[in-house]
Amino acid sequence: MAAPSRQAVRLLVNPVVRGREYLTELPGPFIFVANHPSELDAPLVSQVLQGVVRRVVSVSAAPETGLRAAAVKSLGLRTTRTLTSMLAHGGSLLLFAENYRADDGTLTEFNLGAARLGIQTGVQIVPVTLVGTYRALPPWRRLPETSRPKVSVIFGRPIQAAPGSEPSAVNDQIVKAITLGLAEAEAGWYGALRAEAEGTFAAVAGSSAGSSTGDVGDSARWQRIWKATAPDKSTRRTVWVK
Amino acid sequence: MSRPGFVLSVDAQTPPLVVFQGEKVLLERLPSGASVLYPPDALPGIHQLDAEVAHALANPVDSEPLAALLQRGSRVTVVFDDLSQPITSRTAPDVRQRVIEHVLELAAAAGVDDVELIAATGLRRRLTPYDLQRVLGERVFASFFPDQLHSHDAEDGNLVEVGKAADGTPIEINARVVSSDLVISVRLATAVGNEGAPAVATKLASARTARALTSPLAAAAGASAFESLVDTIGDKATVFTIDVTLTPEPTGPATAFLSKREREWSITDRVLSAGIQAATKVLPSRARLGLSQVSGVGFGVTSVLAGKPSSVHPLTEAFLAQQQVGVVDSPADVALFGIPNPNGVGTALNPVTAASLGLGQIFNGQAAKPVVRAGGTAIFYHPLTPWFHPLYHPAYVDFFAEALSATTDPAVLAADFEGRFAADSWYRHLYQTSYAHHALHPFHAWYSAAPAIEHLGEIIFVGGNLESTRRMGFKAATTLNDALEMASDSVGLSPSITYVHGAPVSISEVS
Amino acid sequence: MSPRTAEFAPLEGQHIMLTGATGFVGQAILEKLLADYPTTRVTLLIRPKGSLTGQARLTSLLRKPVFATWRERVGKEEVERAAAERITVVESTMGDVASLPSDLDVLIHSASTVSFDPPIDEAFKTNVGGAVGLYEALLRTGSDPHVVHVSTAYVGGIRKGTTVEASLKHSVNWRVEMDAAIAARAQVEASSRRPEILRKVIAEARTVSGKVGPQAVAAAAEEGRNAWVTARLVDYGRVRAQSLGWADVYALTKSMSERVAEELWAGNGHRLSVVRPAIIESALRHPYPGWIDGFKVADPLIIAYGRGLLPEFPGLPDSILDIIPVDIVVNATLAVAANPAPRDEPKYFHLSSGGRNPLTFRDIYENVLTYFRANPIPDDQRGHIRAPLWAFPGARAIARSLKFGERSNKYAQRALLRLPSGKTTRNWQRQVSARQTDLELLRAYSDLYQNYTQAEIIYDDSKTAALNETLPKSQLEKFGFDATDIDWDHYLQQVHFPAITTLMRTFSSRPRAKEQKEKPLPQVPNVVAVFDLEGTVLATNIIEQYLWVRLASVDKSKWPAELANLFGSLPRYIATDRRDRGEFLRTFLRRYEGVDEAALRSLIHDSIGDVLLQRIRPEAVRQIRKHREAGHRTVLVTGAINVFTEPFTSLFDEVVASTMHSKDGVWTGYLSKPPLVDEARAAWLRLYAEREGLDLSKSYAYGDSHADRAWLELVGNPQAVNPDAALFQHATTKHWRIHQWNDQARSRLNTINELVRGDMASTTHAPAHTPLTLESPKETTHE
Repeated sequence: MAAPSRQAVRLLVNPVVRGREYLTELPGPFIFVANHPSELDAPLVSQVLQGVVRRVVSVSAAPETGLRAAAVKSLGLRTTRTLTSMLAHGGSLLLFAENYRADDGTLTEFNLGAARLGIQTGVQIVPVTLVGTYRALPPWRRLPETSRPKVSVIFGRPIQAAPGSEPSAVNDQIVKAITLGLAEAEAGWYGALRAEAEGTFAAVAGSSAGSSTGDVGDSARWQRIWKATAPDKSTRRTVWVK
Repeated sequence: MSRPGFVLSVDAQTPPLVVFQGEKVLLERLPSGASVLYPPDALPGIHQLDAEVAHALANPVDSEPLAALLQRGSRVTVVFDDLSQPITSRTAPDVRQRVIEHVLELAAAAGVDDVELIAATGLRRRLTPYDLQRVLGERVFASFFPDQLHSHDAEDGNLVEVGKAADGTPIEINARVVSSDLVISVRLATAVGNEGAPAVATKLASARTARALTSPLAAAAGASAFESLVDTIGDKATVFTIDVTLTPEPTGPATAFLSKREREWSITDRVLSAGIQAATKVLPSRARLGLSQVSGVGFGVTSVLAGKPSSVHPLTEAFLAQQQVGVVDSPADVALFGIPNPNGVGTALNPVTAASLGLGQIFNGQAAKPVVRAGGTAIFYHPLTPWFHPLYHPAYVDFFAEALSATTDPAVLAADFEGRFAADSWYRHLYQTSYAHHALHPFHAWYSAAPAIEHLGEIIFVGGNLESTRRMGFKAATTLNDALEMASDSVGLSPSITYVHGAPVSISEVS
Repeated sequence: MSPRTAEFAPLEGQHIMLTGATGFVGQAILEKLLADYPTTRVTLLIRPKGSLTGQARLTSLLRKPVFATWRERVGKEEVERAAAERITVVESTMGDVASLPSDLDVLIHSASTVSFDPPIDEAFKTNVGGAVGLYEALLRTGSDPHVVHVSTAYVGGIRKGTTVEASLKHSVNWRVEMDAAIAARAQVEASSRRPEILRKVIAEARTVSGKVGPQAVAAAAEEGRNAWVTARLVDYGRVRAQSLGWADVYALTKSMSERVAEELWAGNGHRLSVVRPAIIESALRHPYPGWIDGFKVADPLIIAYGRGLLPEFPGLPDSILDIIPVDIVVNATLAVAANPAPRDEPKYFHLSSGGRNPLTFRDIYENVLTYFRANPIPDDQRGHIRAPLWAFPGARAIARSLKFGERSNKYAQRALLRLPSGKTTRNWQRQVSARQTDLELLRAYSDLYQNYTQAEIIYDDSKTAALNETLPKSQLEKFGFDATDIDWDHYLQQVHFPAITTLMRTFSSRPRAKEQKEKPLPQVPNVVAVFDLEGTVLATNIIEQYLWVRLASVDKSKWPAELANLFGSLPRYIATDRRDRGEFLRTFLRRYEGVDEAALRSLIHDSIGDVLLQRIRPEAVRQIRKHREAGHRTVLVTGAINVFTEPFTSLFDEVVASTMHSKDGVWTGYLSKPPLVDEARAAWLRLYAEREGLDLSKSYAYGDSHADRAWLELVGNPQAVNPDAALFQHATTKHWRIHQWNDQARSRLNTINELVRGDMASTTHAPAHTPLTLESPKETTHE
């Protein structure tokens, strides 16, 4: 399905944004590396970054299909050269670095291209975690639900890749930051930090993190989707129970 | 570097100058020959606050880096200052949030689980959850509220005695703070002499201690009793301080012109000023309060220093001293001050707070020495409407109605009324369960103004409500000329006048 | 008759009986007899009043100012001696006269009704029946005194032209009229008990006292019925008099009593003289210039003018107001008494000034204007009332503007009763009431004076003048009664106006309400201070509290629906509240059906409690604590639900509130007991006081609405706090203490804003991490 328009996103979704203050003090441009649970992600991030960062262009690492793929390929929109020149002109990039998209929105393996780009150009890499977008706009819907679903956009601390560092090391940093963001949504901010320090991500942020070494096959597909689209527990106190 | 402050001598060509009068902004013509003290231009705020904070924490003064001080399993308490102003402009997060987030990230990485955050409110009101969220940010708030994040309770029965003052008064400090291994204190400073005592423990003491040490009947024990509590509190707790200096910054383009020198106003500024003048004439009082929000002043961060308190404080003081106004040759006979309203939504200052804020300018203002001579006259601009916040100020209401109407002498107030207010169970109930200032707070505000009242011969409020002004022992005038007329009895018909331009800087006890 | 020559000693040694000695003219006659007719003996017919015997009334009568000059002249002992020796008192009522002394030489009958428009039966009973009783008693004694019957000039009725001093020419049968008048009372009383009348009266009573309770309504209804009866009988009198050609029932009955005198006394061969004074006003010389006892007919007009109440006057400038000073009346009467009429020819004397020394309205107006411009009456602010200029536009224009003024004021009053109470509305209320009084006054004067001023009668007093001529020149000063003697300008400006304005200042001077210093409350044991909650201690109401709870517990997106729902039902609730507060509470509290009590309590603890605390009135708190300090028991009684009183329980010794019936911790929406409002609260208070041994007569109660009257009246010190219009009226009448407690008014929007913020912050924290209870994998972790 095509992504919803920016206007629709603005009206229908009210995201919780964290960490944007890391960006306001640094001069642009940035390379944003995000997980990609849903089609909502690109317009959502652009909208959140409006006014803070100039000109965000989003690029997906996952293979596109059909006409779009052909267009992208022919115009060479995803070549390193194009991206580098875009950065040189001051525009920021939003890279969805997952190699393929899980059907229940969980995190999958990251393409090393983002890391490489960061090392090559010296531009700061900002990890972006998107939480709740799968539930807000599952693949079978066109527009987000009208009941203002709760989505979070969490920016991690910018990573400055030193020239000559290993792409996999930088990539690990990025993945760790994104996982931290996912854990924050589950266990609260300090809890996530503590869990990261202890390395207990599996215990705390287990369900969303899902490692790339395939827990995937453990539960049935429908069970996973069911879990991923569970409605948000409302924390508002109910006084009228009947 | 910024332009230093300078002194303008008023002559016939001087345009009318901006004077704050509560929720109004006036343009007043001062008599010829008066001097106007302009503060130095605002120091540029730090742009890369994150980097600055990280650097300060990694390279503290006279101490190991914070990351090294945080041990796994240690008991850490983060104590932060409570000002009721939003710090830094309205869109960016509060500086305390930034600093504490850094601190907590380091703590998490080091493996600290036992963390508590306490607002060092002293005798001020508890912070509402909304206040806490605004100060600390949603992430910290959500992670620690309500069990590990709260305000200091001066009436709590669990305060621990850590020593005795010179006259034998026990010094009782917050139990959690005393039992911690490491106390990280986030302090905010706006002006010289405004930091308060170097020891953060002054704001974590019990009501009894605070009362005994601040009472005018006590000998000048005061802050010296806390000297031993600057670097360590009790046996266990070590204090690591992070001092942040602030500078007034206009919150938006609409009000930037108010702190600019009038001579340098552009056409836009003049138009805006005329607009505000017209609006304040036409709008009813409540809407004017809203206007003051627009025309308010925020704060920018100018430096961050961390480390051992006794070493950091002198450095901070020296840094702030750079913001001094150019020295005045000799103190004047008459000093003028404008008092604006704080930035809270729809709030005004109650008469007692407004008066103590104004009078605090005499000794703790932007200049090193008092701008007015002993026995001179101070003229303030504030309406002194007898308005009190219904939730925060119940003790103030009764203080104003009962205590001040009986006497304004601090010694008599301390002897006759303080005991009754301090022991009152209703006020205590409101302080502990609701969001009221402690019953002693109005007394301390009044005592803090006492030195200035002693120093001055006359105190006149222009535009002041007659009844409130009289009750506090001051005089009220309608215009500046009337005030000068009233003052002519003691300072003569052609006194030397100094007007201190801009908003008062010592705003710590406001609201 | 021949004038006395040689020594002038009128009434020498005679025994004179006087009725109506306590009245204005009677006092003056008594005084004159005592002072200047030293050889006379006086018998007074005095009716005992309440617990005062006739003798006691005489004693207090002699202390009045009219006797002051004489007392000063002769000394106290002489007065007492005179009272003991020269005066005898016969205690009796007029209708039922006991035996009279049989050696009377003169009887002066001056007793009559006081007001102009009494109910018809009273008028006839006093004026006619009284005369009948008196004359019959006199006949029974068999003696033959000369009777001087004091009547009034206005028995002439409404006519034009000169009236001579002669017997009245009409054919009205006094017996028939009297019987009819007495019967009228029974008829009207019976009529007042008809359902149609009673229904109206009850409806009226309900609109006024309905909220107080059923007993109050009943009391007000009976009062209303009595008022209706009186009004009707007054109407009977006025209209009957008018139908027969007299101005009012006073003139009618006085003329009937003249007939009685003629029939019973002169008709039986006795000597009768009739004196008919016009409007009697203050004394010209004796006992002292300006002596007057209360306001007389012309005085309200003058006062009203001086107070600026009469912008215009319904009268013709050249119509004559016939005024005669009282000492002239007294002298004339006594001169008449000293010169008895022949046996079969009663004599008639007009005591008036209009014949030979007329005083027109224009004269009065000019004098009044001059006087009040020179001596303006201070108004109750700081200035003086400026007397208006009259242009005499005529009666019809006046009537029109009067009617218009009355109608607009009535609407204003009705509108004000519906407005919520506030300082401005209370001021308006006060102004409107004052204006109402003024308009009623104006209306009364217009109606009253219409007769006196539209009439173009001149009373010829030639016989009186002739009688005056018979006095020796030397005695004219003391005993003369010549109307032409009066210099009106002097009399009005130097004698009469000063006298009545002094009187007015005494009567209507309202001492400016002094700033009441806050006294500490008396430390009396067994005293309770009862406080109402909504509107008294707390500046909020039940509907608002519900709204806060509701908005705090549903999502923001649902707010418009909630507000619309509530506002839609608001008119219904207001109407119910106006009818009966208890019913309103029951209906409204149904909205709480389905509430989880524990959740509501925690909500109130977190956010709504603070909002309630913001609305508390600081002066109320101070007052409560004052009571506490004085050792009184402080009790909060309210119809609201007890969970809403949580924030203030520590202020009070006891809190009595409604409780909701709950099932498994969830409310059913019904109250568990009838709500404690109005008369139910009064009953509870009585019971409580008895149970706890409290003294209600020394206790205090604080309430704000008219419905609270029921229990406020039970205590000895009721206090109204920011009262609504009806309670304000009641409190000022009963002289209760009225408090104005201000709240630090926060706008309602601000409150809702803060409410939302407070609640959001306290409930939207994400799953907090629990550091110590995390099953520490750090034990097992590689470090």
